[in-house]
Amino acid sequence: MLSFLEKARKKPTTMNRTMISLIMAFLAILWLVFSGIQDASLFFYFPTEVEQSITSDEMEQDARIRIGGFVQPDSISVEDEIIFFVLTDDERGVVRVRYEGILPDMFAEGQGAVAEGIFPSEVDSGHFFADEWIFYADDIFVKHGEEYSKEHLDKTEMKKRFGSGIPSGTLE
Amino acid sequence: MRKNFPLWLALMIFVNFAIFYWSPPDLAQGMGKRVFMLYLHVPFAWNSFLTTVFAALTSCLYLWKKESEWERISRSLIEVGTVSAFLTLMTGSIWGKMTWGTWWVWDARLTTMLILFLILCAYLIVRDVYGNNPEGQRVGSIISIIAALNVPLVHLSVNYWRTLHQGSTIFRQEGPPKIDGDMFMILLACFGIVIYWSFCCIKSRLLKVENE
Repeated sequence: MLSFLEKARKKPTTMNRTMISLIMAFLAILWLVFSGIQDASLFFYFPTEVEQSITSDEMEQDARIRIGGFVQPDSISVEDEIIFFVLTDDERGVVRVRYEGILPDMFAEGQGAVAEGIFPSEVDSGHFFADEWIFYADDIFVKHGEEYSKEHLDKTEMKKRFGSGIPSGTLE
Repeated sequence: MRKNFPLWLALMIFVNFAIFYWSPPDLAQGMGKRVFMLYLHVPFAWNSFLTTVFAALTSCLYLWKKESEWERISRSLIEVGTVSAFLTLMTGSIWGKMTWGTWWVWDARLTTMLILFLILCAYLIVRDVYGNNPEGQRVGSIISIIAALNVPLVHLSVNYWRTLHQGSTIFRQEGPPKIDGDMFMILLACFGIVIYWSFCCIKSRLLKVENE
């Protein structure tokens, strides 16, 4: 045991040094990956979580976040080239999204989508839900499911799944 | 590869036929998207995992037995794995542009896959810089083992972290694979071809080294 240590001390070969730097590099990668569990690794929040943090007054305004869920059927409306839609999830959480720009081709009702943007602290009152929390998105990603099937969820089935999640009369 | 040209041609015709005529239509995705995702991206991703893990095994054998034959196999495996990882990232990026609407996002799956690719590149650089001496071979072996440790991280990233990338379709933690049977068969055929391509590459590489 001691002789091994002595040998290591006497001969700090390039091999040893390389090994140590390799192990350090690997540990650094591991640390980078696992230290990000809290924020960066959570690519998006579900609408339910966003709703909860709004009601418990924890939602930070003007902070860039991503919200991901399903596009609520019949919720897409366009007004002066501004697109409004509702993101919902399995727990029926609801977030209203406002987006100005070009939507990805695959964007559709019932499709998974992730919106990146902010809840602005100052909302221009010209819009019809100025008193509500509206998510101002500047980037939309379509989320694709892991299912590869011949069948396709039709609109009535989507309504059955997500239809009652939205309070009535909020979007026309 | 040249010797097996008829076999290659037959495989190509079969797979093209399978993808474009036999594969059932998936309404959620167009033809081009499906080809990129299921029949190119997935086989290359699996191949990069497989070659990396096997390279780590042969590297362990090299470190244990000190026979440079193992190391030679390990290096050719990593070479194929690096190309596969690159193609995985490329096809995934093209598919991402078509489906997600972006070439790249920094979510857990994409980031861990990029790390795997960079580790594999590091291996090739180290092996090239050191040359064919025992020291370079040992350092390379260690790097290939580190790369293999990263493989489960890449695979499980979609389960542990919330990502834009979809979850596992075939190797799910619970429940049966979420894939249509015919599509799965074609996916397996494509994977088989990629495996065969790997074998050809490794074989020709080993022969080349032997002749030198």
